[in-house]
Amino acid sequence: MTEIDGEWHFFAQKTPWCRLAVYCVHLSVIIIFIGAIIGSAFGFKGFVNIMEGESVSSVMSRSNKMIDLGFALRCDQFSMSRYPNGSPKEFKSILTVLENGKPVPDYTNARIIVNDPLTYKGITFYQSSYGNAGNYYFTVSDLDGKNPISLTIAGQDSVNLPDGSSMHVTEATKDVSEFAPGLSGPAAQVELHAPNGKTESFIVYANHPELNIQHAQQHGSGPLIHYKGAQERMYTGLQVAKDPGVEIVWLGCLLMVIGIYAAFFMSHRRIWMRIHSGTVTIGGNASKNQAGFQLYLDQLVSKLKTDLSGEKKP
Amino acid sequence: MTSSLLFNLTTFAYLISMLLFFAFLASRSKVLGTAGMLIAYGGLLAQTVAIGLRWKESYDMGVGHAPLSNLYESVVFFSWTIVLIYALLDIKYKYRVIGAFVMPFALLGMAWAQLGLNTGIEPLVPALQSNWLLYHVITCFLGYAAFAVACGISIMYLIKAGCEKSGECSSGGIIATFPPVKVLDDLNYRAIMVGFPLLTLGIITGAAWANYAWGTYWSWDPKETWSLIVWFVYAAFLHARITKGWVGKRAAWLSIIGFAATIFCYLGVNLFLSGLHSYGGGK
Repeated sequence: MTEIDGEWHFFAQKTPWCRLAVYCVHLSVIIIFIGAIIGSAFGFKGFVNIMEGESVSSVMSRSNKMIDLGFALRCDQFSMSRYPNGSPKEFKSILTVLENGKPVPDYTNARIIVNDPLTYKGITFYQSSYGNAGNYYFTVSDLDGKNPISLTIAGQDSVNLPDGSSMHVTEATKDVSEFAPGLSGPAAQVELHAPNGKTESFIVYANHPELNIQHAQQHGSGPLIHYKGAQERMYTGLQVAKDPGVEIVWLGCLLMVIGIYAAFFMSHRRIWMRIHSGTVTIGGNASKNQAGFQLYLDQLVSKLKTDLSGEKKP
Repeated sequence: MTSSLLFNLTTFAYLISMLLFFAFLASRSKVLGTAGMLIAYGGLLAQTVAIGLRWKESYDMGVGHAPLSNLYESVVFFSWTIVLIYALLDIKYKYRVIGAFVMPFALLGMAWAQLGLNTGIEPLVPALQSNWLLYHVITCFLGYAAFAVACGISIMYLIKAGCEKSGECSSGGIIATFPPVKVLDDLNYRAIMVGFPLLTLGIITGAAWANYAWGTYWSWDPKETWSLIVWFVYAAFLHARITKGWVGKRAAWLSIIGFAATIFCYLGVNLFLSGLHSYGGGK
């Protein structure tokens, strides 16, 4: 409020800082980039497979460098549960952090599942994949059952059969009944690469030798393969990440959201008023949504009129 | 009362509503416009109840989760957000004729979902078992819906501006019932002004979730790349409008291009490309 030559001047304003919002949004993009650069310079992303019962102290980064964790991580157990319809419900690893070979109290038997990782000393472990590195056992023979040999396939390995084709296991189960009602016992899906380049994928059973014979007969010459079961040995696959820049990225995101809100939905509104020899003059300005501000100003003027005329009455 | 019955009822209501809006366009009878709007509101209510019921049904089945987990559920939700945003627009501005350009999108979504997609409630795969699902999907789809409304308004703008330019606009024609071009242009801007912050939030919540679940907030997955492209198109729209004064026709075209990119980001990526969002695929 100022007084000049008997005139009264009033000035009021609201949220003048929102004019800066647009710079705030553009600054936030730069902050996010800074966070990303810090993350890639001082952090790492890696991956590690840990066998049940074993521990690791280094992981392989995405650029194929071994990174020493500074501590060891043991996988005590990996398990997987399914819904009644067979689709996966939960992948779970039980992990223990070891410092100098001794378990760290708060990080012993820690459970991690997808969407619920474990963080220790700034390094976070995410449940990512799993696998079975155990052995599968088969008997392979000619079509009439002659010349049987025992075959052991380790994990994802491929082995050569007597007839020159190679074979590997794509999937195995302890109980086939959840996939094929009416059948029971262990079964394995195998893939056979014949020497002539033909590839064939089929299922062999442990409790249903007649099905294995039937398949081999349809095939013509054999070989005849019987499944004998597996010795399970699960491993868990963990995504490993350290990202010291991530907080800066979130700061940038927060700034961006606030900035966008202020830039779009708030406006710098100013009102001037001059009182001079009984007349009142009002002027106003808004940085955004002028039409809405005009409405607001009109209401203010009419309210002022009724208030002023009301005062004069008594 | 089951949710699937209510979803069928919703689809039917949107069909009737759209037909009434078309009849309103042809006859310019106010009663038809009001009836179309009321039936759209009824459909919106039925759909809201149906979504809530489906949520409850999933808990009764023992696989409880928000109904936002596969393509069917997302298409239904997309329809719902389109009608919701249109209803809010109607309450504020009361331009009934916009319904004829917005309801077809909602009907198309519901009809495709009910007839062409697997409607079964399925248990949540481990990757989706997180509260982030709710925040991420809701913000993204509200953004998409705002862009859909902006696209419908831009089409109206181009029709109206084109016919005013050629001078063939009879004052008694359908097009005369459209809001004035200035209003359409302003509504286009306002819809994008609402959609852009929502898309920004959708991308940020997605990044936060990815960081929480996988340890990487950005991995250039096709969905992420396309959502960034959409974000850039609308950012360009806003920059062109505010700094270069791009309004009217050019703004309308940018809005339509933006929505085409949005649809590809939503459906194209799910149906044709594989990646982190593959559970939203056709199967």
